[in-house]
Parts: sequence; C-alpha cells; structure tokens
Amino acid sequence: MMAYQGGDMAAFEQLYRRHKDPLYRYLLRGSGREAVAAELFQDTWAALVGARNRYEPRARFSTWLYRIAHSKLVDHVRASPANLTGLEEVPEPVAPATERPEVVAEMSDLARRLLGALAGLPIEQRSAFLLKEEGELSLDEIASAMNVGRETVKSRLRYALVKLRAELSDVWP
Amino acid sequence: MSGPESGLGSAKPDDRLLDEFLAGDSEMTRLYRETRAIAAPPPLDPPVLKIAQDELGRPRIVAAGATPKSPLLRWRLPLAAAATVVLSVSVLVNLQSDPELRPQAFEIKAAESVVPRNLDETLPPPVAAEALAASPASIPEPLPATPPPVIAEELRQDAMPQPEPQRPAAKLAKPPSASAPVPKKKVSAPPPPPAESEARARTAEKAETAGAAMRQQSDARVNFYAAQSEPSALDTAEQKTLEPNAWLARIATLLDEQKLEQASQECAAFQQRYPDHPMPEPLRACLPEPATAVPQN
Repeated sequence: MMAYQGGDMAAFEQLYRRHKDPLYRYLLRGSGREAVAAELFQDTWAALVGARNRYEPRARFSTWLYRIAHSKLVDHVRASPANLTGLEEVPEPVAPATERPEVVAEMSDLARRLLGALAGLPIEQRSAFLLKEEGELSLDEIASAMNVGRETVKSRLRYALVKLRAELSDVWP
Repeated sequence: MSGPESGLGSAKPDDRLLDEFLAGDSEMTRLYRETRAIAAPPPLDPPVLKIAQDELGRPRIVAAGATPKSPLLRWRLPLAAAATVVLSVSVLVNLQSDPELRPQAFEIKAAESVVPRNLDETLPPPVAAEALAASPASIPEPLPATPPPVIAEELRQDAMPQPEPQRPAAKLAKPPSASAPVPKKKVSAPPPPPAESEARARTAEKAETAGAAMRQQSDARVNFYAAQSEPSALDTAEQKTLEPNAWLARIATLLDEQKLEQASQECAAFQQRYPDHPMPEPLRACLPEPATAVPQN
C-alpha cells in the first residue's frame, strides 16, 4: 500500500488480486445478495483508494481493508428494511440461494448446510465469523475492524460457533 | 427477547470450541474452507482498477486537507480586535464618568493646553469661546474673580481675527495692516483706505479686549489650580498623612508668609491630630488660647 501511495499501480494490482476473492465472499455471505456484494465490493475498494494518503502501516493492510468493508456492510444492512431481521432476529436457516448453483453443487452436503446456518446468524455474529475465516484476522484485528472490544468479539464468536454446531448437531454430536 | 446474544438462553458457550476455531484447526474451519471456491466475478476487476488508476492521477490534496484549520483560529483576529475595542471603551468610560480616576495634574495640563491653543490657532473666536463654554467637564467652575461669560458673548457677536496673546500692546498702535493678525502674505500689500483702516482698528481693539479677557480667564483658571495645589488648612487628607515635623515646618512657612489665619487653622488641626506632640516655642503664637495656656508634653 505504501508503494501505491508513491504512485506504483502495479503494487495496487498485487494487493487487489490477493484480497479480492476473500473480500467478495465476505461481502456476499455477509449481505446475502450477489448484486449487493458487487456494489459493496466496488465501494470498499473505492473508499480504500480514496483514503490511500491516510493509510499508515501501523496495522496489517487486511485489517484496514476489512474495517472499511465491515462498515459498509453494516451500513447497508441497517439501511435496508429487508435486512432488519439480520440485526435483531435469528431467522430459520435456509439454503444459500445467493451462491452460484454450479459451485454449490460441488460442495458437500455438510458444507451447504454450514452456509445455510451461517446465513441465519445475526449480522454481527456472522461478520465476526467471516472476518476470521475470510479475512484471516486475529481476535484483536477483528475487534479493530468491527470497532468493538475484544471480549465483545469473543462473545459474538462463541454464540456463532455454538449456533452453527447446533445446526449440524446430527453430524457433530 | 431476540437479541443477537440471547438466542441460546442460559447455555454457556463452549470456550474450547472457540479456542479451536481461533487456532484455525477446528472442524468448522475445515468445513468452511470447502466453500471457498467462489471467487469475485471478473467483471468487477476493471472498474476497481480504473478507480485506482484515476486516483493516482489526482493531486494529493487529502494530505493538505488532513489538518484543517480550527474554526477558532479563523476568528482569532476579529476576536482580538473586538476585545481590544471593548477594553479601551470601558477604560475611557470609567475615566470620564469617575472624576477621582482622573489625575489632577492631567486636568491642569489639559486646561493650560486648551486655552492658548484655541486663542492662537486657526479656530475662529466664536468656536474658541463655545469650546470653552462647552467643556465644563474638563475645566472646573471658575473662581469668583474669573470674568463672566460676557466675554464669550462678545466673542460670539464679533467674528474677528485672533490676536496673538504674547504680542506687546505697543504693537497695537501700529497701522492696522501691521497690528491686525492678517495672514503674512498680506503684509506686503498696500495700506487699505482710511475707512477700512478705521474699521480694522476698531476690530483690532475689540480683538485685543477679547484676547485680554481670555488671557485673564486663562490666568484665573491657572491661579485656581495653583491655589488648589498650595497647602491649605482644610486639606485634611494631606494632614492625615503628613509627618508631624513636616507639618510644623509648613506651619512655620505659613507664619513666615504672614498667612496667620491659615497658620492658626493648621496649628489647631495639628494640635487635634497630635495632642501629645510638643509644639516648638516659635509656633505657639499661632495656637488658640486654650492650647497655648496648657501645652502638652
């Protein structure tokens, strides 16, 4: 990112190709819609590029990237009445209709059930889980990206894991 | 209740499950990795890369805007100017409204500087008289010997050139062209006709009369202030702070100047202020009868 600050476009392309797929999956499974994920994906990169002069290498680049992405995802979910259930209620787990059918077909049945259970989590728990799995962030980095305390992240992750395991209890007793 | 962390009731979350998940070797993580086959659609790449390329072409104005000026700094100069004006006006108003704040010496200088300047400079006499009459705040009440305001009335009635106060009276006897305070460029002009000369002589005479009156008024004011600064038997404030020996020396001075009445008053005041202080023999003459009969030690 520092090289891109200095005008090196190739450095940005390298960063982009390294992070674009995990970021897209984070936004896709966080928002639940491909169109929304694509829009948030471009918004996230545009915000990052626009704020390149404020970037300081005090933390990992991925922490900064997912902090922007999480902020945009939560703003979208809160602004959308259709997604209010994601904030306050725990809907019934459903099959991930947003995933591409050909890709989903190649997944195991257990993996499809996991995505369905993940889609049923509240947005804050779902985002914490995805930040760990897709962003590969540590506990402190997740707390920084979500702008909450470390214990809050641990609590959200505990509830998310227990909920996911309960959905797959027939496989993981 | 359907809060984010309330869906599991009172069941305690599994800390071991969390630790394994954070370590990256949990069953959940392995299962989730099977779902990572989905990638970002390729059509999303060009717009993002174009945004990044365009952003490089822009001037780096964010760094300059990263430290915006505080609104307080923008109002620093106007606030300082307003505070200065308010302070200055309040000090002036206090000085004007409270006579005790004005030093007496300043008033004397002001009175001395106002009178001659108005007589000598280019202001016409009516303006000078009105300026004197309209400034009671800076000039105290005239003494009884001060000429009455008739002088000012005369000055208002006759608009005349101003005589120079220091010019000797003998110069008034000269021809009007020389005695009248006409501008210097007219001195070399030919003498005026007799009628005009006579009128000028009368005007010069009035001017001299008015000037003398003004000088007298000015002198009276100066004498008034001088009298105020002389030692007086009624100056109780000074008596309170005067040392006994200094006070006795002043009484002796009054006796030397034959100001017997003031000396007697000072002696009585001294006796009252310092009843135990011995009175020198030469000064006992100014004491009242009871005091001289029983001098105290």
